[in-house]
Amino acid sequence: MSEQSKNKIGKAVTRRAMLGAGAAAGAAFALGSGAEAAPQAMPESWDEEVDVIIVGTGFAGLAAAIEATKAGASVALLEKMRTPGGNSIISGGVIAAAGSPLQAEEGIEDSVQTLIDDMMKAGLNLNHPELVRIIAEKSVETVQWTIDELGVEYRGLAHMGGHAVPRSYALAAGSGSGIVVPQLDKLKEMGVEPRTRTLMKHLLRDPDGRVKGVIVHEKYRHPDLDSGTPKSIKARKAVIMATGGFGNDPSFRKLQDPRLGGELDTTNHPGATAQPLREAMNIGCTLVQPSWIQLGPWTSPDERGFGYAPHFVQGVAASYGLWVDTQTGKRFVNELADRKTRADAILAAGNKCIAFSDADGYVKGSTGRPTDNLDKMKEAGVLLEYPSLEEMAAAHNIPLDALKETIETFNAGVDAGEDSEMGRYMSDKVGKIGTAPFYVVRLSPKVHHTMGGCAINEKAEAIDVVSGEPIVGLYVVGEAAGGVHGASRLGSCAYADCLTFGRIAGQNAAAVESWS
Amino acid sequence: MVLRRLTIAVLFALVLSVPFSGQLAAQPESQCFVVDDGVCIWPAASDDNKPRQQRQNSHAGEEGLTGHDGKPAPEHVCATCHEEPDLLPEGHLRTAGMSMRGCRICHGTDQASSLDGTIFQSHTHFFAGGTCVGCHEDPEDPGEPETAVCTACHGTLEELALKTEHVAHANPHASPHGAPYAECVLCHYQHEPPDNFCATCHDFEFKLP
Repeated sequence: MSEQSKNKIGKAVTRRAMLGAGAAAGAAFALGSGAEAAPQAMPESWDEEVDVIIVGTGFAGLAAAIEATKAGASVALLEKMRTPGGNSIISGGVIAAAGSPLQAEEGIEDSVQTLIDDMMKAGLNLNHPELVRIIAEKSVETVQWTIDELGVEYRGLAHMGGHAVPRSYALAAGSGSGIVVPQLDKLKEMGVEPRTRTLMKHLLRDPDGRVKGVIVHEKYRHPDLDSGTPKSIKARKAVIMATGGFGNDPSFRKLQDPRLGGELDTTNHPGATAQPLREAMNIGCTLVQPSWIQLGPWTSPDERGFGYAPHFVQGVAASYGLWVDTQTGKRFVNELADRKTRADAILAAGNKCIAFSDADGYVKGSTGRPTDNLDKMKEAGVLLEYPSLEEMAAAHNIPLDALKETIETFNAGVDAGEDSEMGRYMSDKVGKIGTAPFYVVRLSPKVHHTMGGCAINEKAEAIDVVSGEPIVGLYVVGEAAGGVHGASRLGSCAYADCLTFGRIAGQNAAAVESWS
Repeated sequence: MVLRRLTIAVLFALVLSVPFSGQLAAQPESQCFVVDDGVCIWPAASDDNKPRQQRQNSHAGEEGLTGHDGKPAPEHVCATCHEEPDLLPEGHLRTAGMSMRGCRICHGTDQASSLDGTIFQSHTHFFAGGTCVGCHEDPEDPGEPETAVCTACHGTLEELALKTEHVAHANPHASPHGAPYAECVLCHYQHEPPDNFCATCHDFEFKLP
């Protein structure tokens, strides 16, 4: 027990391992990295030198690279996978902005404080409020930056679960590639290209306390941490870790929440592992809130990963259809509640829930999406189409009378302009349910976002586990940083978080005084 | 697999009719050549789905055996790589001293005995008249070519997407994840069997060259 709790604050094991005591325990917790926790010696000479090393090429890493380069720093942009973009490039394509021009156009009232309240509520008030405030205050500026600096295109506003009002800018591209690709293009113009298949094997922290560089493995082959050719890179100013979460690392997940081990599917790409966090802990970062692992409530058991399902479950059914428990024929949650509330509700109902819409709802919810989405989803067996409500109920063993009553109650709410049953937000576009055919996606939550990570301050500086002070020369941003979202992150707030803190870290890192 | 073997059998029957291949015997069952440690594999017969680690070894090593020594392919002789007789189907005529042009007499892409789809794509490119430098700017240090190198001959990504728009599951050339997921080299390996990169995350069963 004491072995385990000490391991959570890496340094304890580090010292033990160095002293040679408890070496077996240290090895047991190294978890596949093939080495015990122990600081790496500083190299006698460096193979390469730059001002700022940025590890990871999702939204946060790319934003940091743009800002650092713009401020005149030379940059090494590292990516361990074959493709840049991490989870960002395959993500759903929405970014929150409170009090935005698009909201003004649609007459939606919103404020920075409302976004803060929403994030804190979903986060069960575990969020570090000073970080939440920065994201909320800069949310409109951040979206505007993507438009003005990167030329990003949006197709309108989306209403994500747990947000008081529609405030999420939806990318025209329908995927995070709508921002990642312009970021990469911008960097290419600036002469910076991601070095793919380059693993950050170790962070290097000098005994004087400063992080001074990294050991990389070039030509790395994921997930073999021993593959590739080692090389040292010196960071004259700073290292920025934008290495993402550990959603696709079942053993580390299980360590933090024993219920979320290997069998559970994830929306994350294969590179979303805890190895960079382990390296950060090994040099004295503070891991905070790692047990808060978010399940996405809008995924389907009929396909792998994120897949097509969320486009329908969230985009269509959560606003224009209903989610029902097939065992009761009743709604079981506010379809626009935060992710944690909804995923917990699905699991509590025995994972036997569906999302459905009628034909009109489908049309309304899929405006602006590719027109062949319906066929693709049907072809993949994710979306099921039924010519009548009766056939839909029969196919999913739903008690028909209860289902009809559920729909009648909802339709009465549409007339009244208020969802009396669940208190769901009703825009004036929502119509009564009843036009055949009916569309169904089965629900099964999957691991989506890991809230925990390295503790940071408002400047995105990493916090030392012993002193509680910033670690000179190390910034951590995006999903790799912990504490921003508390117990559960709201949809579209990761984009705001990653871009905002990525930019902050890039600017600050470039302004750091060089150590040599 | 059965279909592939049949195809190969048919091809060899055709090869038999080529004048100088009199010593060939059609023995399609002898197509399985998994080669000694890390030299190469004969993809037509390999059931190994994960041969990627062999890439580094397949043509690296001693000068003259590399295939990447800077010589344009037509100057190459098959035997520099296929020196081991076992690398060729049993009964295949001797290729020692034969130039690529010789190989193309039987196996050019416009030939009925083309091996397109059954051998590494690099060979298909060679048989079609391609060279090392056609894809690799510096054959001494052959990195993965840019997508623009491929699209120069094969058409733009948009044109390729049109060709595959009716493929089941999703259009592999029109990924919603953008340009980084449309790099040719993510799937279409040239010196080892291709890999369905989309299947990293999706249940998309693409058959690809």
